[in-house]
Amino acid sequence: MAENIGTIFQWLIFLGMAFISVLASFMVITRKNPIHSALFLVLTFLCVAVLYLLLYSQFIAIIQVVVYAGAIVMLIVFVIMLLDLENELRSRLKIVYSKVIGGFLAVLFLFGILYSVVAKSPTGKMEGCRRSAFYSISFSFRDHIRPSRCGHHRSGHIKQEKDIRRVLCGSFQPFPLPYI
Amino acid sequence: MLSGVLFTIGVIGALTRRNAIVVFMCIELMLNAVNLTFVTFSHFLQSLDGVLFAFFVMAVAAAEAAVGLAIFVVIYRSRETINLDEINILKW
Repeated sequence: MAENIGTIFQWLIFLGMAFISVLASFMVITRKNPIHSALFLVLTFLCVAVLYLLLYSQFIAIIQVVVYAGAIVMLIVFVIMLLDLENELRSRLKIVYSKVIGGFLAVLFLFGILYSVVAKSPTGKMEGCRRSAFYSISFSFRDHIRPSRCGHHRSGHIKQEKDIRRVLCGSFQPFPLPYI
Repeated sequence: MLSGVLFTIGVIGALTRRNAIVVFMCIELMLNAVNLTFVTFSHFLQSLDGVLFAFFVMAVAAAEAAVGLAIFVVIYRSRETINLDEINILKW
């Protein structure tokens, strides 16, 4: 029950952060004032830092906040301050033919990415690799759930250790280079 | 999936905006999406390689930001603009 609530809570946090980050990144590319874009960029970076925390990688999350939200956006804001862009602000955000073509290509690119995530491979050579990825995903879920379920059960501990060792030292190979 | 969407928004921004600083921010957005993919896969594959690579990507992005913004300042001082349509001296 407890870990169920925890999982639901994690999903809620993930969905909220995903929604906010997509919204903020959309605002980054649609605002006309570069300062507003920079502030929405900070919001996006903070949301991605929370997503890193959800993935149990605290170090990367801290580095994300310090380096991106602290250093890079500060540099960007300073440069915006140094170059006064008033005439660029006065010029309209006009729709040009090339922009429409660029946006269309980018949306096509998005569909390519989604297809590569969802689709089955035509040759079937990818299958083993994909199955092993799912394998380790299911193992990681079991590793998260098991310690609370079989608390002080001795054989459960031994089995869990075996599972972890199989995941860590097993003959699992990452994506082979040619597929990339 | 989410990082794919973020990456695509970055690509749209880089292709459609004409202000060099906004294009730069979109590049940072794309780097961030790739970092998210790295960390997610390293979590699900129980390997530390992705986190290590994400760390290097962050270091490279920070250095690139410093150099690129310095280049923008120099271009602005010599050209009085950072509109990418008017900086076409390298165009064929």
